[in-house]
Amino acid sequence: MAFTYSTATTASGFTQATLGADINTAMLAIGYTLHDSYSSGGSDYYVHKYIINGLTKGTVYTVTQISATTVFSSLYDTWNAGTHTGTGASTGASVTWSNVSSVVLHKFNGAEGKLIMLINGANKLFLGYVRPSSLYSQISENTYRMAVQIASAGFTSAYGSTSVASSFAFSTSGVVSLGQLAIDSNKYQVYSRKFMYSTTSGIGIVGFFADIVDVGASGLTVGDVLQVSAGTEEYILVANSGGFVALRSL
Amino acid sequence: MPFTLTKMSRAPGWTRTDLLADIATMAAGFGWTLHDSYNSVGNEIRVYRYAVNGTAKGTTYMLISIPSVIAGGTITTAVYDTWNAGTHVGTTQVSTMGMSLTPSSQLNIFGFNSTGGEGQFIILESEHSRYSYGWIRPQTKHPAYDEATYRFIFSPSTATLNTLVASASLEGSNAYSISATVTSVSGATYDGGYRQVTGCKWLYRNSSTCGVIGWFSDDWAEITSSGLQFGDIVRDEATKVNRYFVVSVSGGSLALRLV
Repeated sequence: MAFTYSTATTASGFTQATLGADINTAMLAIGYTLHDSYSSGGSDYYVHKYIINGLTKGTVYTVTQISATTVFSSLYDTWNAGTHTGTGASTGASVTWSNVSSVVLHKFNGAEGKLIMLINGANKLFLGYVRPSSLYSQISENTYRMAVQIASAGFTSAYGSTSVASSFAFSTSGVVSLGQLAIDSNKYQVYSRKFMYSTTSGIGIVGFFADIVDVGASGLTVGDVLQVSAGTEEYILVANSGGFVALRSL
Repeated sequence: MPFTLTKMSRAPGWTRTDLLADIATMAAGFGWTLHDSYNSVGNEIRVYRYAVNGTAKGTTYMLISIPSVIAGGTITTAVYDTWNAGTHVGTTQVSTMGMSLTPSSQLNIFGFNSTGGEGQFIILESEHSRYSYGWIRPQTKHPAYDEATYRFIFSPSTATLNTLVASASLEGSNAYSISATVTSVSGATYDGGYRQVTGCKWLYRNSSTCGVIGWFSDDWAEITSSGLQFGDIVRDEATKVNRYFVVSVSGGSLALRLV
């Protein structure tokens, strides 16, 4: 159940409109449908929809706002395309863009999320959602949306909605920075599958991931492939500062 | 495979003879062999031997030295690569723990015996101070870790079992750590008090020559530990049946699954 992985590049010198169009194309490519698009106050808005399951909160809407200087991403429980308003908003994340550098959209499409990692020079933003494949048994998606917005470039935390918690943390191991392993032919190590939790009293762990893992990433850069077993078990590094996170691609 | 738990207690006023007898009882229950027993400058010294497997480094020698006066004294433990019972001398000593027990308060002795070969150890408790003596071995060994050369049998250097050492291991006398990630997470309260339990723990040392070298079974669990303390027994929310003994709630949460 690994993520299907591909990239798309928008060459430097692009315009706000081109950036929005390319993000839209990438979102459609990983399975979202375009639910609403409009311009307001100088910003271009794209609202995409994905039905994860048939439960009340099993559908997620991603709202992407491209202004003259920033890209902003947030998730909603519902969205009204007539009024351009939604309910159950997650706190959003944003990044400043510049057409001096190209934009690379790393597209991840899997059972645990439809995620775009936007890289523009030194800046990074995650658009779309991730959701643990194994949810805590007491959590009902009829009540809570469990698709979450990655909060920051470090991939250490996420935003929920009017959810069981408004924000969550991702587990990290104590060996996050280790590089190649000398005793094992200089392979990189995958330490553990991540889980998502809240330190808010009474919540605890809300779900476990299968394909989002903690890795030894020292010496690697974002986008690198970690070949635990070449051709059969590979991971794409998405954070090597803050969190040490990779998504399984094979 | 989960742990069999044996608990013994001594009322305040217990003596060195009592402690030695209880350790002997626990050791016998584990199937340890008393390899050497002698008195040296007032210290009663016992060296227990246990063969986990037939590899070159498959046997551990575990020493415990108990001073004549326990109150104010220090009980020391160590592990060795080999031990000569004739000369009372061992090779490649690695100290594991110093213990300060209080005979004027109750002594609790918890014996943990893994039915899956993941360890046999004692936790001694007096006046809320705890110490550990015995051995631990992750269920799965990194395939590149060569047991013909390096020992893959570890002993706790903290009573919380967060750090382990071994004699003649890949990293010499350096300590290894057991992974920990959710020490500050509270328990979910919307499930009747059941605790969220997640495995598995692994054993590592953060160096380029080591990394993660072993993985424990799910019997070594991380728990949402807020509000818990040593000795609590919790049931997990997934099965609502499996019982876990809480060993550590700070510096790494750890609970061991009981039979």
